[in-house]
Amino acid sequence: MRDLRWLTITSMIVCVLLGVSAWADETEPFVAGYDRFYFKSNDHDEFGGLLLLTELNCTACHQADKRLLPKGGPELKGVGSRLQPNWIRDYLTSPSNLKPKGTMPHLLHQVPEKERSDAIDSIVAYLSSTESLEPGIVASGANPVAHEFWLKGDSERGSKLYHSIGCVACHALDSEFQPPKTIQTDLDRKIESLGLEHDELEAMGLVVSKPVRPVPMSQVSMKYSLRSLSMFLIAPHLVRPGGRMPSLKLQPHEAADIAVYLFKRTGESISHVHARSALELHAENTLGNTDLATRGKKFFEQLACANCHTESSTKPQFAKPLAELDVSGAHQGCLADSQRTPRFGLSDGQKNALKASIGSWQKSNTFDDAKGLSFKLLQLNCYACHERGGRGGVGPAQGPYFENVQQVDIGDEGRLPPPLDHLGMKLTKNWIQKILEGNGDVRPYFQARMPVFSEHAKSLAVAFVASDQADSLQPKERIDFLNASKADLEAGRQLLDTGCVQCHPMRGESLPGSIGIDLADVGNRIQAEWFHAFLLNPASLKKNTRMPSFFPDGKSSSPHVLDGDVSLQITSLWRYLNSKDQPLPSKLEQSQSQYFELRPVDKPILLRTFMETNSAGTHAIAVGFREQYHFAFDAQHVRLAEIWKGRFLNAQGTWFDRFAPPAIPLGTDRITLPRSSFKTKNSDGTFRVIELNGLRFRGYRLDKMGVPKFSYSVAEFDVEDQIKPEFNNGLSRKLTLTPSVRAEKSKIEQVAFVVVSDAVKTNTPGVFTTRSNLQVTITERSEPLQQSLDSSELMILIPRLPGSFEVRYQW
Amino acid sequence: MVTPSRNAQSRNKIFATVIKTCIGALVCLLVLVRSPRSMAETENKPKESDYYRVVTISTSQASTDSRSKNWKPAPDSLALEVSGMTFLEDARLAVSIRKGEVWFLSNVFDDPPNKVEYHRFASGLHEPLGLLRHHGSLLTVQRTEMTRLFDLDGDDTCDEYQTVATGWGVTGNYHEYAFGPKMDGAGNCWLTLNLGLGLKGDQKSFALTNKTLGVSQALWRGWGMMLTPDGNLKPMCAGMRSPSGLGANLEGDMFYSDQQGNWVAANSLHPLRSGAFFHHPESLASVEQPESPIEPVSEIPDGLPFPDALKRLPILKPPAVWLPYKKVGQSATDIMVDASDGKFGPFAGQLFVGEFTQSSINRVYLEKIEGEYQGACFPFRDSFASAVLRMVQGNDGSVFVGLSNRGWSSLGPASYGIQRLVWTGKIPMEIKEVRAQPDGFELVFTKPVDKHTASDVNSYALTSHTYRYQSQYGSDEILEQLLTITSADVSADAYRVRLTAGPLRQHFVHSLDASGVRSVNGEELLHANAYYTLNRIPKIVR
Repeated sequence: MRDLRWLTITSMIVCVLLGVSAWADETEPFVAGYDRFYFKSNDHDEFGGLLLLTELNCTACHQADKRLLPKGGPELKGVGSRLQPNWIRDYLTSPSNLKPKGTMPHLLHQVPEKERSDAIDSIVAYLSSTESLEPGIVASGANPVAHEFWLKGDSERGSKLYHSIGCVACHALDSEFQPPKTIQTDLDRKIESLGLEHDELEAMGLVVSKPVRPVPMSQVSMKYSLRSLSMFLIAPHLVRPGGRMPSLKLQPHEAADIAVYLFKRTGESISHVHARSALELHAENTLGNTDLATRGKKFFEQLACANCHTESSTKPQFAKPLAELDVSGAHQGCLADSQRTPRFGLSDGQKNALKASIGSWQKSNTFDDAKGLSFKLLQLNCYACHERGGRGGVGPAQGPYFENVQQVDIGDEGRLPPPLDHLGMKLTKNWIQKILEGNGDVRPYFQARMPVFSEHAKSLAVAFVASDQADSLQPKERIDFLNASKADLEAGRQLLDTGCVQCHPMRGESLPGSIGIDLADVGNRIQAEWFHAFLLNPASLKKNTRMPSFFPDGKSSSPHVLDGDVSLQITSLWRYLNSKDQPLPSKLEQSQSQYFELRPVDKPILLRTFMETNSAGTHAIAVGFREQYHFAFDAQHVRLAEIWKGRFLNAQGTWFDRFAPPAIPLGTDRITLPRSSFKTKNSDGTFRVIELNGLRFRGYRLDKMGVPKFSYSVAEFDVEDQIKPEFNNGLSRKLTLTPSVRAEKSKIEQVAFVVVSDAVKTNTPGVFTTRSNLQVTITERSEPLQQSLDSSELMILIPRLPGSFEVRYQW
Repeated sequence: MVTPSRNAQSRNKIFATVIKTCIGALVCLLVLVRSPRSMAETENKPKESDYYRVVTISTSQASTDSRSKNWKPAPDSLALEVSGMTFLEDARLAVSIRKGEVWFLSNVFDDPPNKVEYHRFASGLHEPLGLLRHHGSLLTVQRTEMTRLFDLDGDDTCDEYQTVATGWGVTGNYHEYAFGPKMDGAGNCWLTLNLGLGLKGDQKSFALTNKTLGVSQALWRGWGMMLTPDGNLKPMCAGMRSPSGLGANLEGDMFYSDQQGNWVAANSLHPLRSGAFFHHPESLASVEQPESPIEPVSEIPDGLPFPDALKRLPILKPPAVWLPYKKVGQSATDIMVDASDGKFGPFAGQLFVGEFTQSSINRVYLEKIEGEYQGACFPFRDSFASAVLRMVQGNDGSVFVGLSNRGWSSLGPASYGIQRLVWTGKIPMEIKEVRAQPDGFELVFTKPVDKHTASDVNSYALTSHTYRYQSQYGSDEILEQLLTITSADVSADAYRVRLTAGPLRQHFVHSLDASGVRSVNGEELLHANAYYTLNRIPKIVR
């Protein structure tokens, strides 16, 4: 067994190394999918040649149906203000000189040599005369955009980004850049399992595993300005509508960092760059030379440039349709490098592949769903990052540059883009769509970013679902996910605690150190059947996953929940995860509260916060005691607003939530107290509420035990008000009222303190109970108080002399 | 296992292959070769860090995105989201943080600051957004009140939280921040009240409505308030949107900064005085209150160029300085005067304005024309670790910079913390002042200029623009016009250049690009741009 594996790996590697050796001499156009899967390979499906047909834009001239839509060329609108004119000139003179292995064919050789230079000048003039094209970048509070941000890039930051967010999946690594740490890939682990010494491995070339070769890049410093390269990196689709270069969702400053890094890496002196960029690239002045531009347009048309570079004002010039090409005999036309056709510099292998695939396409040009999908994945080079059906995935040299943010080893699935096997069964169509549009990121711990693809990728969501539906999971019994009993929700919540929340966050809450996908709202992303099958046996759907099975041999590891019924358990998990209004799993609740729940252990804890209007409102002062009796004081209306028992408060909303939600008591037995604590007597003997302008909060002082004593004034009284637990049996409150100096002189109105507004007198004097079972005891300290129980409102009439009284709240 | 003979065979083959591979690799790596030249040339270009060094006292990255609903500070760290700073008499730095605490930091002047100690002085405050040492104790503004913090028993912990001013409207809307206090030259303590944004449910019932204008906000929202030394809180001026910065100049006049948004065309800096109205009409929900020093108006023009809006709406007062969007920041914050008399470099007496989104500090030169402030702004220093929310100057002239970006977004790797900006002693080549003249501008440089480049009118470019006063978010720069520069006369000491240029337009921002100017030693300007808000064109040469 071991020997067999060894042979396979050796032959694979030797084969690839031979390929690499030949590569340096090659000038043939580079097409990533072709190079990786069909170059010198024995893989003889027709895709290799078909891929060349679309990626080299053969079908832009030799039209076929929409399944072979050509990649298309870059948008040339305003190219004169984007690219350096000399570069355009040199490029047109010899594309492969400037960009070896590029896919742009040589066209100008078709123009007689003495006219060529004029033709090039005129094309440049024509292109420069078109309106410029730049993404609109709107700065906002959410989008920092420094003035002339493209001049403020930092190449070190750029290099770090380039080597971490995914650029290197397709483009060349910088040998000088060291990945953050050595990472063992699964392939490494396999080689290690061979049990050979390092020098043995080296001698056999085994330390070099199958390389994935980079998509060539122009020498950007000769081609762009910092500005135009930054703009290109921000919105590549604008210039390359074919979408093969996706957007990596770069912030402007990130694009500037990468741009300056790429300039520097291609040997450019940055001060030169700055000097040039300060002047900016100006489109060549074609005013007064409209003749040249007009001639340029003619050449553009003649050379069929518009076939790839869709230019509305010039017409494409089609060649023989694909179906009519004669590929039976010797190479002809483009394949024969004729004088009258574009020159691609194709290798013999490419020519043969093209010929073979055109032949077979002509015979039977059908793609089923699965084939169509694989072809699309090849075209867009999804395989550079993703594996599907054993094909593709991040290359071995590139692998170590894929890391999670915390650099924690949670296996390849914790750092490498996920495989796409069964994707159409796993994700909902809408979610795949969302991902392709760049809004479906669920792995915030990845450094690599899922790029945004253009319109071209739109069909992928449908294709995945269609092609993966065929070998559907077919659960033995179809589960009714929607009609599970409501009582199961709690079971689902309970089950989450037994292994899920140890790795997975939920609604942004997580246990310390855990890294995983947030499970909230999973129904928006995942298909129920897949969820069921995956939970039953994760490894059957995702090899090497670290997701353990909680149902070994189809038996639940939590037999006490729902009688151990596996289907019911999975259903209850699903139901729970898809209900928005359920409490968090208790372990997450505990973890969250560990950080943010205020638990008085020694001195009381005081928190000024917003509370709900029927509690202490916007001017709340919540005070919690270790005795587990707590209260909230409303500093605006100077009143005791709410009392409760048990747990105190969670401060996260007050401390850290941008939207400053009201703090809600966590405990039990919440009792709200009267909206108005003080009233004055009208001349007719009735009482009226003292309005805000008669109330004034003056602050509080903490005593040695840390208990606050509130100060405020009510009408013409100064009040001191202290509330604290008494004998673990409720709260006791002492109010001291002193008429102000002014008040003594004036004839102040009778003021009353409202104790409760729903009181019933008991048999004991001075003791009252309320409908909410609060027992209120009034203790007279200095002199007898006048109490009034008027339509269940218990009031104490305040004498015009300094004095105090005590109210005890027991409940 | 493979046989030895086979092994040798493939070894040869592989050896040849490896050689070929190396050649191949070399060729394809050619494009990756770095030019050694480039490093040296980069270093020649003046950098802000050559003149002003950032010393990190403490910065942290939160474990969540700055806008996350479940925002959490970095694990096991003090959430040093600095919202206010002031120095104690014993040179400890008092810092308020957004979660509602006040901390005392010792040894902050150490360089490197690796012995900083943290002591908690006060807690339980509701998002205090300022801290001021005042008459021997600390003053802060919480969401609902201005509070004085006393330590009565001398144990270095606050035990009395005295409410010194309260009564403004608070609906519970998150956007209703209260900033301050800062003290002016007459001993008044100022605070500013953010507008609510998107009031919901109960919140609406706490708002006042001005039916004439159809605007609704809680009492005094969008107003600047002044607490007089005898303890009266007075509403003074209105029209503020997000007035997160306050600060007095050396003369003792109080200024505030506002942030671009609806009705605020661009970030701006304003002197505070009774009866002024700056931008946002929703603040006029309180204009019918008896204490309002502003007369009610019957309509607010929407969409006029700002100079026209000034004519149509007499209560509207122009900012002393517009800070053009992106060019001079995206969200202006704190205001700090350089009171170090030269210990912080060549800008003594100038104002520095914090910048949230771009994590930077900008600089402002002010002058008085016909009794009114106006002047120019300049980029000053960028690349702080996070949003710059607060600044305070130490006795040695260095500036402590308080950072916090929660709720919005900013450049830089951190979410919060404190950094310190220290002048290296080297004088940067900068435009120190731009002074208005009847027929152009006088530029004052920090170093003598090279007479050849400085007297060449082609070393300069001047344009002017204004904004639209509108309900929409922000404004483009509109009615832009190029000025013609007819002469550039260098003073005898070579520190000044007199530009004759026209046409000058009243109430327009005049943007200068002086990138052609070199110092006498051939240095480029560290920042070649300045933006002068020309509210008044002086009638006589000054």
